[in-house]
Amino acid sequence: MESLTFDALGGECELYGIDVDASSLRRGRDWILRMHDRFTRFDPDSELSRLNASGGRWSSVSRELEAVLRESLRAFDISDGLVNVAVLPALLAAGYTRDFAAGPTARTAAPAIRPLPEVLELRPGEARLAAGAALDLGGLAKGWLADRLARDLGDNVLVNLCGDLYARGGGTTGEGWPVGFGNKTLLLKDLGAATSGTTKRAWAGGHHLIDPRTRRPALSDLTEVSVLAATAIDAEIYAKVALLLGATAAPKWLEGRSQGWSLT
Amino acid sequence: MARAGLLRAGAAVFAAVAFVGSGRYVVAHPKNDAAPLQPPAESQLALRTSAPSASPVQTRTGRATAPPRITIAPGVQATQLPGITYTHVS
Repeated sequence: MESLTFDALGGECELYGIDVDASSLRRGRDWILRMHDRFTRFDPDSELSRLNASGGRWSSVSRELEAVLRESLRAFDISDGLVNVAVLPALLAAGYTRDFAAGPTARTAAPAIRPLPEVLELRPGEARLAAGAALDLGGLAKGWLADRLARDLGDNVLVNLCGDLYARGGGTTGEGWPVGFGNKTLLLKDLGAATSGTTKRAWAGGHHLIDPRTRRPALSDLTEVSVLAATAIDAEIYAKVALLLGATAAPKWLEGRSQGWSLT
Repeated sequence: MARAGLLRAGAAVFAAVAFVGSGRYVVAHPKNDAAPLQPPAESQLALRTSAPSASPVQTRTGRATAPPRITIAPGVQATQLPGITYTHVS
């Protein structure tokens, strides 16, 4: 088995492959690093930052960004608006204005969050974001990247991008890739997993998970939710929804959608 | 007198045999941490939910939190093997 670990997307990324050569993993790493540069909101020259600053004009977007934006619209739809990448102005108001390592800034009044379909329009190769709106792709981009890279790397691979992961194929035994999930280890085969929580990227009086209903960091009775789903991006969407819904409503919402969940 | 000595000698022999025998038994039966559960309840329970234990658990970050409540669909297997990676908050 070949493996490769590297830093990108704000954390540690791991690639594992069986019958995959080391150079393929290195090419996968290089692709992730390029996508990081495109999707980060902390670089004013990134493709996402340029779209956020486009002032309501149509902008050309790469195929990859277009795909993530389409997934973002789908996430909004299937989550009844709970997963809304247009929360960036509220995230900035909560104090998360720069790379987390640099620390939070002062909290300001929470601005209105408009529904994503009202502020984002797409057509092939182009996107238009309403003036004043801004996007933070966050975990959705990681989930999408994990799914895409796993598909491209090979038939028996595991891609873990800062906790959002996709296990393709059966691993070394054929039964599944052993992956820590809550306090268990599960054998994952052709499944995605993701975790949403309020304990990391948290500071006094706030954290990074904005509840679009309150425009403030979520006040949930759950601190961490891990979810299994058919894809990593779906797992990411489901985990966010479950965390925002809380311990009572989450299991009912997840049932029929998810192959497993861990609530803390 | 001779009978008492005989009893003492017998008790000593019995104790020695029990000591050596139990030692050999323990050496011959080492604990296998990787042995599957019998019966294999882990894989048979459908949509099981783990009951929270009374004590908190230590997370990978070292912080003590309440134990997670886990629900897993029938098609997903748990294992005693260590995970090669894990899902976590980023």
